[in-house]
Amino acid sequence: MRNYCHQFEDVVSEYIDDILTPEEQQRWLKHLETCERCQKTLAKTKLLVQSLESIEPPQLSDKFHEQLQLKMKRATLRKKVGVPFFPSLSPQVLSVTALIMVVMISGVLFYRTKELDFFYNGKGKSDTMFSRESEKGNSILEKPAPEYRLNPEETADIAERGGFEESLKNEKSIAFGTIAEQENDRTGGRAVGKTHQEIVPDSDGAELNNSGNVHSEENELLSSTETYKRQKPKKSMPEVTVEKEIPQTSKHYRGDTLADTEKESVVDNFSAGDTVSLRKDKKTNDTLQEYSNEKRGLSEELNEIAGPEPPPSSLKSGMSLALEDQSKGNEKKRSNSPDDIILTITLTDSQNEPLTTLTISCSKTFWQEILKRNSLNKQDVVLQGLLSDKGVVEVTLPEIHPDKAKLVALLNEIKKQTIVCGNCPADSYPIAVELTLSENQQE
Amino acid sequence: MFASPLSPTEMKFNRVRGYSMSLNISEQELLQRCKDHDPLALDYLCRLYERKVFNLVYKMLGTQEEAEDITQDIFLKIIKHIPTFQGNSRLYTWICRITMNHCLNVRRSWFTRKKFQTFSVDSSYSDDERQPATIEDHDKNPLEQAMNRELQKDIQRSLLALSPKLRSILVLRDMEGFSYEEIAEMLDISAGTVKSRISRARNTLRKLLDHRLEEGVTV
Repeated sequence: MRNYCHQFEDVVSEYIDDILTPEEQQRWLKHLETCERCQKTLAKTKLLVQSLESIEPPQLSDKFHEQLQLKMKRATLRKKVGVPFFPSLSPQVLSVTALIMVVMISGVLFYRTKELDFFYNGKGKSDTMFSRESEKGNSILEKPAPEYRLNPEETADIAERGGFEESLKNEKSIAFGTIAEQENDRTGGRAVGKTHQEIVPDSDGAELNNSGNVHSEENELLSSTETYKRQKPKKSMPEVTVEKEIPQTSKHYRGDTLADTEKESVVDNFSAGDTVSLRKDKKTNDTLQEYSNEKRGLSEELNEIAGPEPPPSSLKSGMSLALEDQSKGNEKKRSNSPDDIILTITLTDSQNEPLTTLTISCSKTFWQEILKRNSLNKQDVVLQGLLSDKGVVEVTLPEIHPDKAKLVALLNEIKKQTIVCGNCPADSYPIAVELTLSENQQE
Repeated sequence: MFASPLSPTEMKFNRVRGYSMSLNISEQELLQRCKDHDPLALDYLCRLYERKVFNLVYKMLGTQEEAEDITQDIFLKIIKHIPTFQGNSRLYTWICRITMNHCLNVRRSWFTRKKFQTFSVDSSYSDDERQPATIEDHDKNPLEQAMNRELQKDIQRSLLALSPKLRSILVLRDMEGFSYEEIAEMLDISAGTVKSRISRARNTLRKLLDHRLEEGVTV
């Protein structure tokens, strides 16, 4: 019986809900008639269910519907507006797109900054940039120097003189050349700046002004070592290299004048005593003539830019130098002003045969200042120098020199400029050639 | 013309509130207009079921203020998802399903935040105006009515002590009057499970309130 009551507890819920089969219903009905305990269980369960049904929750607040309407309007508005300007894109897509753009812009800025840093300061170009150029085959270090070909005028001229060297000997001309080799420490020897300034012994010479700029003439050839290797004259043909002190070039020079073309660049950070170093970065397949023309333009730019710069300690303001080949007696092509004062140094070889004359011209103002300081009245002084085997140029004063001592002082000022022997032995190269005074040698 | 889904009480309620929408609108038509985001239809839907949904939420969670907020959230969810309603069941069944699921989620989140531990049924009745409405049986004497009221409070308190599964079953069956099949569909369980759960929930609650039910039965 008790077992039966336990079973009824399990089915009392279904009995109340009237989902039992009729047979089960009848069986439990018979049991309930005799079992008080199950009757109480049924009554309690019915009361519980009735109580549950009778429970009513509290009333909704008056503001409930207004708040609901407000929330619905906000939700509708949010759905319509979405994300401003990008209503159709999800926030995830927008964030990923923004991240990609930031990475791209950062990369471009980083690369561009390195390039500009290298271009303006000569540093910052990483090894990867060089290696990348090397991979492309564009590296200037790996490209062979292009072969120099004489232009038709040069060829005809040399042929007329019976060959290049013969013409040099016969005319006893001097080839001034400069082989100045500089390694740029900043680039670790990669960006090698080499100047090969060679003046061919023909009618035209080259000039050096007081700023140390090289004025190219028609046949003057300026080239970098990697692009141009000229056949050197023999040792009997002395080469005097004039290496000028060049005031430190302002940085804007390179950026303003050369950055546009990107054809050439000058090894930066000129300092007193440095050589004008020209280096060709690109356009290696250009003809030498084009390159020479470009160099000429570059020299003019150097004149313009370096002009107003303060002179180095060895040169005074307004002083200009010109290197002229007078062996043929041709008209000198000078860029000096008519007021310039000319000092002429005649160079002779070891047999006292005059090779050429080095003419140094100064502006009148500077010359007057020197004369005033040295109590000199003569405005033209011609110096004759002898280029000895030791590379020393002995200069004589053939003309008026009222006060030798003061003139020596004058020469001491002038000789501070470095004169480099072009055909000296390689191990001792370069050797500065000093100007010394040889008194009254011709007198 | 379809039959009105509203009960006479709801129709009266709408008339009292001055609701201008026609009461002859059928459930299908209401559903279609709600899918078309007709503001009037949505408003009508809210007014029609807000009370029922609120009752369900209140019985499931036991706090009035929270129940109101949660009811509003449930209606936002209903409006958002009503275009996906296929019409395979009654609209109210679908709404109750959303409501029960939402309540279970809320209760689960409360449980994780230990918020539910601070709940007290008595605190919600501090205000006389907020006391739950009870159906007064005028056939019973005042003593019986008072005992009945006390029993309802105890039942509610005990109801909250049940597990969410058993409570939801009892709420849907004994408070809302859904059939076993509807509950099975709503909670996505079988009818046999519904039967066993209802039986277990009633027996548990009966044992919890045995003393109070004894008094009630005796009276």
